[in-house]
Amino acid sequence: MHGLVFDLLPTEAGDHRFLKTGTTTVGMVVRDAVIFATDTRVTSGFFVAHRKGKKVHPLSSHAAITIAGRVADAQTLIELLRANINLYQVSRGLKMPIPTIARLASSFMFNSRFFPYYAQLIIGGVDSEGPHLYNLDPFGSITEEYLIATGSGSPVAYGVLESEYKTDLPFEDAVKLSFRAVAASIKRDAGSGDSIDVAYVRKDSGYGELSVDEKAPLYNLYLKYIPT
Amino acid sequence: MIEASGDMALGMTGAYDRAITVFSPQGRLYQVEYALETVRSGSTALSLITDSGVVLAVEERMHTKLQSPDFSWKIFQIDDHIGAATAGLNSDARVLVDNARIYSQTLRLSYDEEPSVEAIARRVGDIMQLYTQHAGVRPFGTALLVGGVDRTGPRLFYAEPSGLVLEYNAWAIGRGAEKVREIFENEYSRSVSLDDGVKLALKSLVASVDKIEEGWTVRLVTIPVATRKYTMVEARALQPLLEGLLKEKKQ
Repeated sequence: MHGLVFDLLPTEAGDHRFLKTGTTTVGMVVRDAVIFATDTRVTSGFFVAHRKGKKVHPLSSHAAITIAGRVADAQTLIELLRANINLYQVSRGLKMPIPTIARLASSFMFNSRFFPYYAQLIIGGVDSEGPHLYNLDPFGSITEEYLIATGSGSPVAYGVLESEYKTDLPFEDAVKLSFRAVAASIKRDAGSGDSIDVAYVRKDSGYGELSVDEKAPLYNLYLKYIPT
Repeated sequence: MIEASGDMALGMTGAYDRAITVFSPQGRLYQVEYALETVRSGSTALSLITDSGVVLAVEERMHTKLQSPDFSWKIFQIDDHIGAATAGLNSDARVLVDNARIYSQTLRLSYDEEPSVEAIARRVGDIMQLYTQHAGVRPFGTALLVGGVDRTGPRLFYAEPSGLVLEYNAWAIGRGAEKVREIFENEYSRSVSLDDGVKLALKSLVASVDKIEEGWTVRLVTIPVATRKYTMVEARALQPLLEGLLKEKKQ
């Protein structure tokens, strides 16, 4: 009823008393890196509209964003952010700091709070100050966190994440933990499913994503199957 | 009482260079021609393309030792793959460059593609043209060399205060332009390496200066086809090439 959404409304259609985004996205800060993991299910009501939807995107070489909510709104926001990040970089010869990116996104969302971008975002990356991670809601509220899960699968994901997360987790262990949290929510949340994307921003190498081959052992370990 | 002779003098010459929206009886826009004169007397900027990339180079004169040597004001990045060099009023150039930067990102936002160098150069020309026709404004006292590498390869455009936009393989503007163009006419070849392009750019720039004074500096940018990235060449890297040229010039 609102086009393609990373969203599942278990209540009566049109009932927005509960703003539930049917997705699982995870973000975490570790030493010199930020890690993101998401499921890839895209729904339209109770219909699975896409099984390989991209919910984690690079904003630049040093920043990334995960999205939950209305796909069109989120994609538009991403393009708007990219344009501004590029403009900042060519005008000043500096990479836009992560807090600045988060503030910019927050401003866009707050300015249209009466006609909101229906999206829940995790923005993170590494700048000269180190790694940063922010949680943003559709009206522009902003909080800095070490660990975030959003979407309908977030309670399940938090259960997994908070039992094992430490700020000094080695990078590989943190990737595994993020993957496992999304795998857990895929199993128990109807709004999340299909497959898992993992992306990261590291201090030295910048933005990257786990390849199909790199994910295969993780699928075998935590889902017991490899999604097609 | 108005004297006939005084009135005539004003009518014959003075009146047609007060407002740029007014043609002279000979069909000229004097204010635009004066703006071109500002460019002609500005410090030199040049650019050339080779098959392997674009070179943009300018001379910048520090007027006092108190000025920071790290700050460049005649050469600009417009997008990842596009740069601009100016001669004339720097403040006017900054306005055009700001506009070009925003336009470039707007094109990316609208079309999800890398903007072409031509699109950016034409946009700059369009803005310059507006300022030759509207009332209450003056033309831009600057010309821009807009160079970059897009999907069609390395491209170089020249935009001047009249709004004219032309494409070149190699071109120069500012007070040393004549001399640089003369050297380009004789020595330019498109099928050389980027390094050789840089050497020709530096050689021409040094040759165009009457006397090298204290505080005279060169800024040079390359945009290689291989990377398509605007790359400011550091002063340290230019020094060995420049030293030889400057020594030759002194002799």
